[in-house]
Amino acid sequence: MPNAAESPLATYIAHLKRGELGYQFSPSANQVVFYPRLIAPKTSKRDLEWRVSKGLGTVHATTVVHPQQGDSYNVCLVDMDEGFRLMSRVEDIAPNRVKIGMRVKFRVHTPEGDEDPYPVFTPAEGA
Amino acid sequence: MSGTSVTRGSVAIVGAAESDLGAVAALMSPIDLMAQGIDRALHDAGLSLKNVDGLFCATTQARTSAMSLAEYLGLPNAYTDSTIVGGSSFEVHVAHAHAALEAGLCSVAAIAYGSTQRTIGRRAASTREFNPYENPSGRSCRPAPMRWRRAATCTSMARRGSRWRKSRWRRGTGR
Repeated sequence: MPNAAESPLATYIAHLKRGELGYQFSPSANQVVFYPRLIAPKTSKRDLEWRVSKGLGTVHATTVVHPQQGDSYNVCLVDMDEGFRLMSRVEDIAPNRVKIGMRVKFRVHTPEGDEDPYPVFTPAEGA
Repeated sequence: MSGTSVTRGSVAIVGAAESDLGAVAALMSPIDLMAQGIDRALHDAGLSLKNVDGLFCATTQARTSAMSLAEYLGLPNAYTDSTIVGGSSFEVHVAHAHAALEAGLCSVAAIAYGSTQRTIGRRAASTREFNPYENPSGRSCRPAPMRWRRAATCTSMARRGSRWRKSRWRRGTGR
């Protein structure tokens, strides 16, 4: 059996570099999968196809980290409308103003240097 | 010598498989490879992930690999063991799985290993554990500070590969 051509993480990062939040879906199990994997959890389905999220979600949990040095920042869990949850942060708002149930929209954050891009969120009024 | 011991022949290996080997795709993780091997071994055994309730695994690249693997596979209630004693970890896993199966702590145990040392290099894959009483060079016994190399992070691009092995145990009727 030949090796898999691309790792789940590589595909995920490629989506991010195109400004997309990718996730996986198994048609045979009607199962949404995130974080990306080679096989689906619980069902071990191999027919994982990649999809692009519309980028809208709801804050499931939120907290604020107060580091010794530097500004406080938000850490949250976001439930995407497509049915998966990921950890990220909400920007463009004071970290303690993020509330459970708040609607948020995805955008890509590209760090300086050669670090990989990752998803962040901003408040999405009326979405 | 008193005490309990497991019953010889009470369990059996019912499947085995390998993950991708050699130069695997860039950014594969050891847990990816473990899951891939378990999936293939389940096919080999004619079982499915629904049958698995015990996870035994180890890799130098993840201190809590059993927890990560349980999350990856969606088996939060699995009996887990990520004993690391070096290269013999997996023989120890076999012994631990035997005991767990006999004790009824699980009924189908999956033993897995995954590594991307070929990709990220040995220094990044295995942090050194110094024993100051066994330092032959006479230098300071304090470990030198690790240089945080890019290669140790997920951003390293694969130029080489990885390997893993996997075997499965199942509680049998004994002979």
